[in-house]
Amino acid sequence: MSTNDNPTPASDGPTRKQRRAAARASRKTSGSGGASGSAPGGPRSGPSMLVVSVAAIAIGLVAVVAFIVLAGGSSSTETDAVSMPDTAAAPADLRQGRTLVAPDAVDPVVVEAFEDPQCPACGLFTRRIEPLMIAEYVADGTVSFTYHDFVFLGDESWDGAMAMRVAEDMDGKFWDFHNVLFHNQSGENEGAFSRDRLADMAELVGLDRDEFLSKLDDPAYRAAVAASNADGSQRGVSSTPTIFMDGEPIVGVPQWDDLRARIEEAKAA
Amino acid sequence: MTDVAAAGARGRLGWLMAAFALLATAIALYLGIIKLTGGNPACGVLHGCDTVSQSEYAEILGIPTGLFGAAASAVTLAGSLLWWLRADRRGLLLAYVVGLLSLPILVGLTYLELFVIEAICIWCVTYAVVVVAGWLTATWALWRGGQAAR
Repeated sequence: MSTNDNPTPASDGPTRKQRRAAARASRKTSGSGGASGSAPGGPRSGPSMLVVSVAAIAIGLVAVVAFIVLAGGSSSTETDAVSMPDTAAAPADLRQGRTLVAPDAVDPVVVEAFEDPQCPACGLFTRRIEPLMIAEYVADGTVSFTYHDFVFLGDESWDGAMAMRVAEDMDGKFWDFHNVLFHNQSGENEGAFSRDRLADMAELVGLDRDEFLSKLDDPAYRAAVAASNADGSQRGVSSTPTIFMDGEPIVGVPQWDDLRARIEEAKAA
Repeated sequence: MTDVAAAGARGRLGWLMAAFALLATAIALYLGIIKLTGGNPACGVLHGCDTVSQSEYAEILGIPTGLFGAAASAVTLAGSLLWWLRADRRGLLLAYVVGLLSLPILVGLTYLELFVIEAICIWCVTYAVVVVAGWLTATWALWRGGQAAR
């Protein structure tokens, strides 16, 4: 047994009781003011701090798992049904192939977009900015808007881009398919744009499923997408979306107010 | 450590913790309000804020994720002020615990940005850095308090 266990106080130093009292007095005057008596991080509070710390981390872990499950649970997967967007596709009277322009437009501001079907920012542009631009500036002839492929995110991007071209060739449904395609984005190369789901989208816009699938295998569509890619590269496109306004590039998704200001500026010029 | 020295250290660290918490609250509030009003965070020459802001992880149960961060940072701010201005150690402990609780959440959100959404929101990264800096400051203050009590 060590001498520390000896209950008899040493004659030449403070007793254990005295040392505890001194430590208590020291903590009271050290600025802990009103704490519940424990000094976190101090010698006596070590174990309790450990418990508190472990509990905090555990609660944080549970919270992040719950967050991912709750927030991510709503995302669509390849097993989910293809759905129709709330926003209508571009009006039929504005359509000229892959370009939207009013029939009576005179010298419109030329807006072009290079996009990849799986790029989330392109989805954002298509769902949020494009409808505003079409309603406010394409419909009145101020702007002509053209969609270009710039495909680099993998096989499903290629299939998505080719599918839009097939839809155009089958029944002039490019803009309908474009609308549905970008609305049903989900991850990259995880099945959102599998052939089966693309065929579902084709049916949703009124195309014949079997004919659509057979045309999708036509190498001419792949060649057309490749040609658009080459055109984009030649024009300096290196990310999507890249928007050109009268030939001047805008990289990324512009805020609507910024894009509107640029259109007004180009219109005035 | 003398009382004067302890008060001085509390003043410096408390000020720093409060500043970090205030900045974090402001960033998270900005992101939350922007989401509520349907806009996209200003990203300057960087891109990714809009993508992150439009992802399914930008809100939970209809509430912008940023507002949860703002609430956590506001609690941290209150704790920091309590310790800094009133010398109440419970405030320091509160700031430490909320910061520690936030760490796995911030790691999870950063993982989502990098590997699921595949876009980086500079506001979110700044928020995470500021929260971690605040938590490290609180941890340091606790450690110094523990050393002083020895």
